[in-house]
Amino acid sequence: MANETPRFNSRLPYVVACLFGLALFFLDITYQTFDPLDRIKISSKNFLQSGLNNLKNSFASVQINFSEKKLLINENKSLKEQLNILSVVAQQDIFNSKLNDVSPPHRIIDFDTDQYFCCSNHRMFVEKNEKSYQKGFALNSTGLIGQIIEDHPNSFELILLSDIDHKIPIYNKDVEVYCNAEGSGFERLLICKSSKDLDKELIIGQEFHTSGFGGIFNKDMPVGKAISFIQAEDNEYLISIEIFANPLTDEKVFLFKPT
Amino acid sequence: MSTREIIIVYSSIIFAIILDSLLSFKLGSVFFDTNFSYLIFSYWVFAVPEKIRVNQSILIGFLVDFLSNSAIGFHISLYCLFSLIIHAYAYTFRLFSYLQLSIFFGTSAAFISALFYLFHHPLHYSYLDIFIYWITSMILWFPVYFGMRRFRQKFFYA
Repeated sequence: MANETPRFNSRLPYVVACLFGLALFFLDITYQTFDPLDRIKISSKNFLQSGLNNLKNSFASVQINFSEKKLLINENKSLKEQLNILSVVAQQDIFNSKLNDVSPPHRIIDFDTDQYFCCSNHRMFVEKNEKSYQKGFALNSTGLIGQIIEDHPNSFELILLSDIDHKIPIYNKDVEVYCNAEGSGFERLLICKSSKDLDKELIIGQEFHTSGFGGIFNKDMPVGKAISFIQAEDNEYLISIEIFANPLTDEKVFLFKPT
Repeated sequence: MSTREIIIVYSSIIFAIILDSLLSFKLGSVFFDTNFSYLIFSYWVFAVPEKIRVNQSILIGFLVDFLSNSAIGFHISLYCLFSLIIHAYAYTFRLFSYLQLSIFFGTSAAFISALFYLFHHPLHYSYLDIFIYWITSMILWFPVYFGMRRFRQKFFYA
């Protein structure tokens, strides 16, 4: 009879280690026990990223100083910045907000695009500047992208509209639909559940705006338009809304306090 | 394990985690992802089973959990499980051809990925993605195996 293949050590420690790992996993998934560890990770990662960005920028500016195209590059940069500010100001006019509310833009430190495309956690980290926010919403040149969810030591964490844990109260004036649209977990997509009897032809293409409830978003900010409509169980209708704003376009975002 | 060996193994795992975050992208509706961290971990267990035992499996699993976007404990338990399997069949694996090794390690990498999506992002669970992931992992095993073998011969025993 053949001998059993010799092993380097016994199986028991591995079994205990597997069970230990499973216990940690259960605690983290169910009770978020290791959230403080996560916060430490985020803070240190952002600190490192911010330092690297600064280093990169100072290196780039030294390079530019030696270049003949310095003036043109600087002008181009400032024009881009102004264009961004103008587009946000234009949005602000739509939202009936005050022009003074426009603070200097916040540079994006970290945006995990893998998570954005593959998974349901759509978070973004932006640098802090002199203004501080307890709560507020975020815009870029394409529109409303999300809100502040957490204030870290060196960054603000933004939750994007499409994040699975995000909810935003929206409405449509024409068909009189009010709902708490939930992030779908998919890029630029919201799900609005409504119990109102709706006509499919009427709802597709309709624009949705913030209703102003909830105290985070100002009223009448454009959010997105309905692209599909299905009837779910219990006479509930699911409206898929494509978000107007694209968080991938700009490298800076504007933060606002609700007015 | 000596300090030098620990530094070599852990730096290769950190390098693998960075590679994983750099080499994933979306093309159309398919999301391409890699699992270099598992492939390199399993290579180390396969190549030097007497060095990477349960303690190292726990620590490496924790490192991957901490640096990637998974819940703490997920990689610890799976890395320990696969470490146990690789240890249990350490001599059998020596008889395997390169293709058989790539099938085993590619399949186990895809299995970990499938479980990751199932537990962390069930909405994004896609059989097509997992299938592509499986094929990619099997193909990636070859460069990982030969690259890491050269790396190990040059630095690990130096």
